[in-house]
Amino acid sequence: MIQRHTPAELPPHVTDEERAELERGRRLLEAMIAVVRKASPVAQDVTPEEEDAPHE
Amino acid sequence: MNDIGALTIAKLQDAISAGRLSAVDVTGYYLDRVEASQPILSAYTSIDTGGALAQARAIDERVARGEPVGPLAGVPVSVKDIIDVRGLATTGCSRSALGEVPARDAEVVARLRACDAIILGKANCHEFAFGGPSFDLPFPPARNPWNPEYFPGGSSSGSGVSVAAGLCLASIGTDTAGSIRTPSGHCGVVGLMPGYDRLSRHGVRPLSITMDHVGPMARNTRDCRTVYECLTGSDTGEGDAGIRYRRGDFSGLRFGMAAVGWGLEDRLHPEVRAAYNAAGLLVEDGGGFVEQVRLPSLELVHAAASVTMMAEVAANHAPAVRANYDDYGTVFRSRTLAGEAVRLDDYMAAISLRDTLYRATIRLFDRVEFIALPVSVNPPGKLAAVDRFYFMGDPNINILANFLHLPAVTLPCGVSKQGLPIGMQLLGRRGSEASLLDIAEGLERRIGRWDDQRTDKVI
Repeated sequence: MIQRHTPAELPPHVTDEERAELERGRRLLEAMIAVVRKASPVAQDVTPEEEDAPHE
Repeated sequence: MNDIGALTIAKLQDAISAGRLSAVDVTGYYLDRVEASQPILSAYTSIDTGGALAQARAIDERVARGEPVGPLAGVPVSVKDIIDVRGLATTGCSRSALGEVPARDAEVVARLRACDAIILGKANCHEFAFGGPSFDLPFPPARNPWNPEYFPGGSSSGSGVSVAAGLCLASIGTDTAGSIRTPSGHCGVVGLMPGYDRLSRHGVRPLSITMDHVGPMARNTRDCRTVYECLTGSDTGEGDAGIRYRRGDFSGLRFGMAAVGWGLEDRLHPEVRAAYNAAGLLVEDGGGFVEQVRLPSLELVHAAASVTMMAEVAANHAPAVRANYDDYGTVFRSRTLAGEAVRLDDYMAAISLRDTLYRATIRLFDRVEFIALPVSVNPPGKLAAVDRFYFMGDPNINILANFLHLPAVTLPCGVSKQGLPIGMQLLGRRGSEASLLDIAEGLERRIGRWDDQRTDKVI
């Protein structure tokens, strides 16, 4: 769907505070993703190996 | 505030169409108020003085010639700055879009013009309806007219502020996760989020394509209904039950209260809880039957809807943010890029829950006509203290309706100890907008209309 980036790929002038905020937002979102995966019949089809595989 | 400012939409339209009041005078009155308020409230991002007065003159001339005028003749309106108004920049309150001037009106704006509304200008909002409140955008954030130190809600912040402060009579906002209902609740006005696809999104800058809704905001339910009818081009009807409900007679009405069953009771601020529960008692006073209902898990609703929204926002905006990073505010880019954490399979998993959650929710409407919920867990807080990810940290009550495409109407139901409004919302089944407005009008009657409690003290 979209390319995934890491905070390290942000422009060099981005402050540490902004990088930390982005990371905090991702953690909040990942907690919600975990809830969705647990509840969704679609997500239950995803094997642990697939979950760990690099995403294109 | 003089007599002009006290007029509702119906009374203003009646006076203008009968020639007792000049549309130019009304427009001038509101433009003067807007200008005076801007340094304090920042409700508008652009003000179309020339265009508004030209529209007003044309209406006065038609009235003088004895020609009919529309149901919004001379009614001053603001339009959220992600919605196209021909000749005015649609900035989205973003440096990235400054100077983008559309040649055509959005469909909802064209409908307003067809009803002879006066477009005063563009209402301030969070950056592309997502990044805010922010202090690093081309426009300062809108401020709550009840106390400018406080958050007016968002993302249709300027819409709520402009209506509440008497800087227009109605506004058009958008709602992806509560963006009409939160500012309506925080500013003490009425906001309707119609069901998905009830109003055209043509000419509206998309944020999250399966969650975005367009809707009206106004001082009271009757004004909100009038604008909604103009936007849909239809009459919302005068059924027997509806007429009774509007009078506050709720006999026979089954009314659902969902905060307890949703696990919200312990999370609600005591002042929000008191105002919400008091509204339930008013329904019972009116002869209605209140029943506690249990919505699907709040944690799951919040997660599935938020994952969907964050993925769609990232798909929509992240490439541009990456390419032109400094053209965006820090709040917008942090939120948008956080959405890149959602993988395609996670997005599909979230979307797959929509139907399950819809079926679990819609079953409740076999037992009750409507479900009442607070608009937010807490009363409005200080503007400078709003957390960047507040919509993910606290459970988002509003996002259920966006995710399931259900209509909801917000109305004021109390005031916090800090003197800020507290709002509640009524949620209905798809297609129930007219009935929602009936119930809201009756409830508004029992709570007490707020027309005389606008925040004139600020300007």
